[in-house]
Amino acid sequence: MGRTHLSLGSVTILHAIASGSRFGFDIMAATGLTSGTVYPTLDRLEQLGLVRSHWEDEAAAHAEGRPARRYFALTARGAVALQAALERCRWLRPVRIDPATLEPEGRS
Amino acid sequence: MKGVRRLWLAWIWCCAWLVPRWRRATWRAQWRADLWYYDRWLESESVGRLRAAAALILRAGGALPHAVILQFLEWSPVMLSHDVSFGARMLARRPAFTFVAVLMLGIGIGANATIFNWLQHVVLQPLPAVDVSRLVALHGTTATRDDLSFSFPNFVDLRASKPAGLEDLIAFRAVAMNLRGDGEPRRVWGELVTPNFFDVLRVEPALGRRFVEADHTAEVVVLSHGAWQRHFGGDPSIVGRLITLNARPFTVIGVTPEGFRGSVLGLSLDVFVPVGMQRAFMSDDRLGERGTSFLQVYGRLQPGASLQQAQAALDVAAARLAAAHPAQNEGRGIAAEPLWKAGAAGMMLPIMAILMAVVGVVLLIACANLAGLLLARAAGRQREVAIRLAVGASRARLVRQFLVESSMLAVLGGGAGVLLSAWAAGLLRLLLPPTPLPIAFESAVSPLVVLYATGVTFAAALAFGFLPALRASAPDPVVALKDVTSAAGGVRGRSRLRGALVVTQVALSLVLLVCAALFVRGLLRAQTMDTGFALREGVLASIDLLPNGYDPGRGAIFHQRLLERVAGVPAVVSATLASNMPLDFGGGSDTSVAIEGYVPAPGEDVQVYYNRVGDRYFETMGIDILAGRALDERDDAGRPLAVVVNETMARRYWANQDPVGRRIDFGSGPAVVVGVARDGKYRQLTEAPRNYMYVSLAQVFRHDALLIVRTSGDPAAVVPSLHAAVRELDPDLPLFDVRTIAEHLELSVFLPRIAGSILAIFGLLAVTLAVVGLYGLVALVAAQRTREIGIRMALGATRGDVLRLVLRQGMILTGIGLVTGFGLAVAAAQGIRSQLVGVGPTDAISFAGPAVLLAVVALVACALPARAATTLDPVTALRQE
Repeated sequence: MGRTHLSLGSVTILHAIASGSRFGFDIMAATGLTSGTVYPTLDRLEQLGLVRSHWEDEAAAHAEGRPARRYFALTARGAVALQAALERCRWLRPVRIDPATLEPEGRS
Repeated sequence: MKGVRRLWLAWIWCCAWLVPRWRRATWRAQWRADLWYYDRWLESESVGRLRAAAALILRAGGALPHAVILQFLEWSPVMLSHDVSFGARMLARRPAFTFVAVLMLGIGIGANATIFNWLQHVVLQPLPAVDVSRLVALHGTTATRDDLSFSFPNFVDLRASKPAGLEDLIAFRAVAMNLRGDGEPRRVWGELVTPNFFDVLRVEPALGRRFVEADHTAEVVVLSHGAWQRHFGGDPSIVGRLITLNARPFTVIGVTPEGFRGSVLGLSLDVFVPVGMQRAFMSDDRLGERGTSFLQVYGRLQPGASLQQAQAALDVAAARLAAAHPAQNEGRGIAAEPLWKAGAAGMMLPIMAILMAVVGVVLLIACANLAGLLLARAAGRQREVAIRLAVGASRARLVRQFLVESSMLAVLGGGAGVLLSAWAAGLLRLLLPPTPLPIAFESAVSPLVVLYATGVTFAAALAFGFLPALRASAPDPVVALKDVTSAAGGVRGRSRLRGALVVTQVALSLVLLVCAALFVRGLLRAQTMDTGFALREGVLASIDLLPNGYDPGRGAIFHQRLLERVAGVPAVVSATLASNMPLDFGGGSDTSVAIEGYVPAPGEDVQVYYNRVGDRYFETMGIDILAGRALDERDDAGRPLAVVVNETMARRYWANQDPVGRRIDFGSGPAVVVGVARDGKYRQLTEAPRNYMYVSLAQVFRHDALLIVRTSGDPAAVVPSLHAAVRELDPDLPLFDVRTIAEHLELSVFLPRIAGSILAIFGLLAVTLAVVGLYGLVALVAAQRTREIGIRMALGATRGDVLRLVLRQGMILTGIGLVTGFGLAVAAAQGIRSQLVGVGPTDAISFAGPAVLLAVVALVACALPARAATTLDPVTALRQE
């Protein structure tokens, strides 16, 4: 797969994930994008291998009386893509990414 | 919140079907969680209930695009190109099927695009080449009317008061005039306009300049682009040239841009002159008369101003005008309305609504039929489908394949439809009502129509492709692989769906046919109706003396000389003048009449329609005089006013007495009844007998008149001699709207004829489509039952038994369709009742005829495959596997 040109929406969402918003609801709140944009974009980013998702433990969520969340995290490729995109989007605040939090690549 | 929650859960569940199966469970869980958290969050933020519900619905709305996008992510370009090339092969392999399908769709989509094209020209672009944004039409109002025009002094005062919210106002009036450029004088239509006309309409001239205030009373003229091309050959040095309008010289100062056709909605006007020159184009000097209303007014709203603001300012202005000039303006108001509501567009809307409904029904039938064809084909492809399912194709993949195929058909059909509508758009000219007014007519197919056709095409593709696709993709692979023809359960279900489609088609085509029959029956009846006059062979032509400055004295002399000359033309039997011709929709003017010896009931207003007629009118028209005498050359300006009344009027006001010699007054002074004429039809064939009277044109003069000529032999042959006769008397005077009596009588049945033809064409089209569908279904079922029929015949069933067996199914469907259609047709007939001539909406023959016709055609359509089934050789049939 060659270099993917990320849309501003994608960059904003990557940025939001990198900044600590970890599931759909948070991402929408952080970016101000609508549900019709955020979820499809997340799916596309996952297909491109820039983010990965996993479901939180269902039993834990049930114990708290709430539905399980789907957490998203950047992959290393996602981090590279985000840094490259941030070069283009200088108006976004730079973020420091801790390599320890990065997920291994590949489909879950 | 409970209700909303249940709602979004259902919504998510529905959308999930669009999501590829391997993602579906995750997708659903994710959305449920999202909405749950969002709901909680809204609660914690204590957002109002209603706003929270709205926000939730909006949030849940995002699920649909998400699902659609996920589905599309699955469509890799490679796969799509496979689908397309596979579809193309399937279509190419069955050229007959493809041709019929594309033709049916083409007709359906073409008919829709044609009518839509017209609709958008009339309604969406009311004034081409004009910036219509913020343009509003102003009307004078009284307690009972809301469509009055303005007098010039009232307009001037209104404009000077600068009503708030309105940038500026213009006034205009359409007038007919005689134009002489090179050669023969012509009758053209133009407008008297205020000098700011082009400024307010934002129209830049293509040549020359606009009017300026100083032009108000100058002999200057702006020509339309069309008139410049038609009458002056596009002369590039036209600006500055002198042309003759109504026998007066005018200087051309400009030419409008192409497409501009004036400011009157629905008309196409060619010549623009300052309203200050009114005296040259209309009778009397109207500019100083506050009581003489003859101008239409438009205004342009200021940017940001609302219609309501302008209306408030106009109310104030109207009150001020009423206070300043109570004699003319007492009780009158001024109302502003958006342009699209005013004028011809508003009048055309009902006709267009009926047309849109008719073409919609045709498209529906075409789609139903195509769905039927695709279902039949799907039955033939069960084996293919089963194999593909067996080797692991998903159902979604198959549905997609079928949808791609039907979309390809739809695209071909849509293309055919656009081509068809480009050709058919010109035919709509036939739908214009017959009137001497220059009705604007635009037939060019616009990009918007192509867009519309595209939309219709994809709606159609979904409509006719989706059900067959779902059906086709769900066979039981085991059964289907074993044998297509014995998959009894599948076939029955499939033919039930096709049966429903056939029933729909039969019902809808019956509706169209019944409506057509009602119109056609009325038409036939109208042709044998007594019109009250015998004239059938002859010519009609219009002449207008006003533009050339005749006064009543000279006009009467001109009329007399003209009749003398025309009478001398060979093949002319007799000739006369009249201000109206019977059956012209107008039928004359009405006037209040005071009748000596008749005391009207309290509140009764004796209103009588009348016609001004010349010498030998009754002889030329072939109207019998039953008592007294006809109007003739004795009844000229120097004698007491004479009147001929019709039978109905004589009976009504002089019951059991002789009306001849009685006195009446119709507003022009005391008059004497000199004769009684036979009753006739005056406005239209369907009218009830009505009071009518004739007065002498020489005594009650009018500038415009109809020349009525009775001929022996070909009426068209005398037309050149008529033109010559007028030219000898006045070379500047055109004879216009020349037509034969036969043509005139055609016009009297114009509307029902047009409506009848359209409905008949579409009705027969619908029947053809329905019958093809029926035939296809019966043939398919017969083919699928070949084995069963073979067994029956082997066991001793006669040919008659087999025939009945196959026929029964088709005829049951036809029967259900006819009963359904009958009910719908009764309702539809009520809907068009006001347009019917000579028949009621419950005319038995109009209902029975189409029903019988449909039944017979359906019987034939079923009999063909049924007969084929009876000629089966049982041995072959049984061996078919």
